[in-house]
Amino acid sequence: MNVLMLNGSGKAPGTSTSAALGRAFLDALERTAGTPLARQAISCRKLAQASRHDAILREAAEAADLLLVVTPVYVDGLPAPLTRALEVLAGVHGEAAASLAGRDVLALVNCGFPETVHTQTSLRLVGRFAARVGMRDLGGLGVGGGQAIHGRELERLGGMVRHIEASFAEAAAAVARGEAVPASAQALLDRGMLPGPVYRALGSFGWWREARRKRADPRAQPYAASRRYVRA
Amino acid sequence: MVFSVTLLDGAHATGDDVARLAPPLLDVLEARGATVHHYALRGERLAFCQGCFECWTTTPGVCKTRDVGRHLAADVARSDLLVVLTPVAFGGLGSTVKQAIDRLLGNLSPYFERIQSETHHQKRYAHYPSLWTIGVLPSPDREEELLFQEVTRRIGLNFHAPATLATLLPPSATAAEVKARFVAARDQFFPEAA
Repeated sequence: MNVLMLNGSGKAPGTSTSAALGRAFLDALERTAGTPLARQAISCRKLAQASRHDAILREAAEAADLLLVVTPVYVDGLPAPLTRALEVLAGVHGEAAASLAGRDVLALVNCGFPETVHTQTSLRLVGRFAARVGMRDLGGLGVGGGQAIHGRELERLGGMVRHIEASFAEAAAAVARGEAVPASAQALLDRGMLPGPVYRALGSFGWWREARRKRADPRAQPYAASRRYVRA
Repeated sequence: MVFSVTLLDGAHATGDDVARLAPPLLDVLEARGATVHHYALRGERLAFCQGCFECWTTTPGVCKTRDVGRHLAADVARSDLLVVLTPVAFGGLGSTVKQAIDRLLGNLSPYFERIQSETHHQKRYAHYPSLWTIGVLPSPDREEELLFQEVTRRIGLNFHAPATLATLLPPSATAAEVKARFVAARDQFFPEAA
């Protein structure tokens, strides 16, 4: 099976949680299927830098049996570079990718909040993309607490991500059978890593500590109405 | 009182079905005396958000990238209304305007709080603009209409918008229809005339 992993993260290589989750899912799919996958990964941050990359994206998508969209949530939706990549495939910016109809698409969406509800609009957006181009929507999974993963490989994170590994194993088994991701796989993720109040307290502390390390005031108001702002 | 509006015009190309809506929209807004900061994003130098969070930890409130993203973030922070004009992309915002919306992250605080049983980021500023999204749907699609409304509601929730409204238009909307829809929507946001 040829798989194209389309990564919507704006982060530099090696620091993307989306890429780490995508690799973990494909490893689970390989284990279930019992045969190696032909993997290709494309980062939308590269695509966004030059429209000449659009042809590379179309060609890669046309060669894939499965399009795996991996992405963080940016303001309750897909990041702009990923949105543009999907627009390219759908023909919004020129020629549409050919022969996508009938091929499979699956989404893994992560967010920095503990609740997976924040991933739902992004999963629905990928579903509507699939409908627009005639691809078979296998659904997807929404992962909360992505900030705690911080681009690290799941096998290095131990018990904190057991629920993600269990979910991916269940979803991969369904995908290997050609079926959509079952609701039970999402239910495993909905359990989360930590209770909401604990996650919020630890997360806020983490941001405070990081800003303090850089001698910055996280509560600064550079564009407050009372301050003079002059365009450069 | 000056009513300040930031208009993010997310048309992909000059003269397309979305770009043609900007002039009547400006007329309708300025007819009520609004000061409008209009960004025709297709002609602007605007980088995409790199997800580095330096706008929270290194230069809080300011993106490290020196481009028009800084100006529009400042204008949005000082506006009473943010208007987003966009083609509908799979039920969401088109990529041109989403690039600008993604760059507004620094207008929020990194700290968490609980709103409507969900975790969100706290306010950085005391005042946030209401949100009015105007989407051009390429072809009728009920699911995308509902999704666009949901996306608008959730962006408003994230950015502490006092009010949100999504207006959907077909590419075939006549000038009269467009103006009538804009006037009706505008009057939901503007203070009553004295």
